[in-house]
Amino acid sequence: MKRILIIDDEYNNRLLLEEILEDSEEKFQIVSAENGELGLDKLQHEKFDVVFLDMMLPVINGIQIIDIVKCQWKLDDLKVIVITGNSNKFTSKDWYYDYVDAFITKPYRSKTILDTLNKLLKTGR
Amino acid sequence: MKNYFKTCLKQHFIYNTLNCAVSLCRKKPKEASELLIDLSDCLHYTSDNNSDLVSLKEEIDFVCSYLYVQSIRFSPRIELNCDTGNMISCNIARFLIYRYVDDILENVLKNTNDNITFKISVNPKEQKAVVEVFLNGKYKYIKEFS
Repeated sequence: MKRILIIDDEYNNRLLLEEILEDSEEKFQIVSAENGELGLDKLQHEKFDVVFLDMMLPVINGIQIIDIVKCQWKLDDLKVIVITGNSNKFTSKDWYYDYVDAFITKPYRSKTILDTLNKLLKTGR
Repeated sequence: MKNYFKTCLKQHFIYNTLNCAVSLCRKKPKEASELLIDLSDCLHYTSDNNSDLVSLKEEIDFVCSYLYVQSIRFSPRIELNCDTGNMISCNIARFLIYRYVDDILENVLKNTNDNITFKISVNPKEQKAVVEVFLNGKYKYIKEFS
C-alpha cells in the first residue's frame, strides 16, 4: 500500500485531502502533520511515496522542507505535490521547481487530486 | 479599485478560505455558509473604495469578519472575542485596525506555533476602540484606535 504524507497547518485542508484520498478506489495509508517540523520528523523516520505539501507553514516553510528532503537527505523517490493558494507565485525560475512533481492550486476538485496522484504513481511524473 | 482590492486581501487568503469552505461543506455545511458570508463581507469592504474614512463600526465589523475567517481556517490556533455592543459613532481611516491586527497575525502564523487571541472592544466614554492581543493566553499587545 502506498504511503502518503500531508503537511498543512490548516486542519480543514488536511481533513479535505484525507477524505478525498479515502474516497479513492485505490487504498492509501495516510499520515498528516500540522507543521513543517512534525512533517520533517515523519519524513526522516518513515518512508513515504508521496507528500502533499502546503508552502506557507509556520517556522519551517514548504521551500525549506523541499531543500532538506531533496538536497540534503536526497529522497529522490519521494514525489512532492505542492498545494498552493498562490497560483502564479511559482515559476520554472525558482530553484526548487524541478524538485516538485506537481503544483495544485486551491480550491481544488477531488478529481484533480486523484488524477494527479494516480498519474504520478503510475508514470513517475 | 482593482489594485486597491489586490493590496488589501491577499490572494492566498481568499483561495485558502475557499478551500476551507469546500472542506467544511462535506460535514459542517452551516459553518461553511457562515465562512463564505464572512469572506463575502470582507470582499465587499475591500472592493468598496469610495472613501478613505469609514465609520468605526464598518472597520470593526470588517476586522471581526476577517479574524473570524482566520479563526476557522487556523482553528484552534486563533480565537476571537469581539465585544462591540456599545459602538461609538466616530470615523477612522479605512484599514487602520485591519493592518495592525494583520501584521501581528501574519508574524505569529509565519514565525511561531503560538496560539493567538484577539479581544476587540469599544470604550464609548473615551470614544476609542481597543484591540488586545494574547499569545498562548498571556497578554502581549494593546492598541487604542480613535
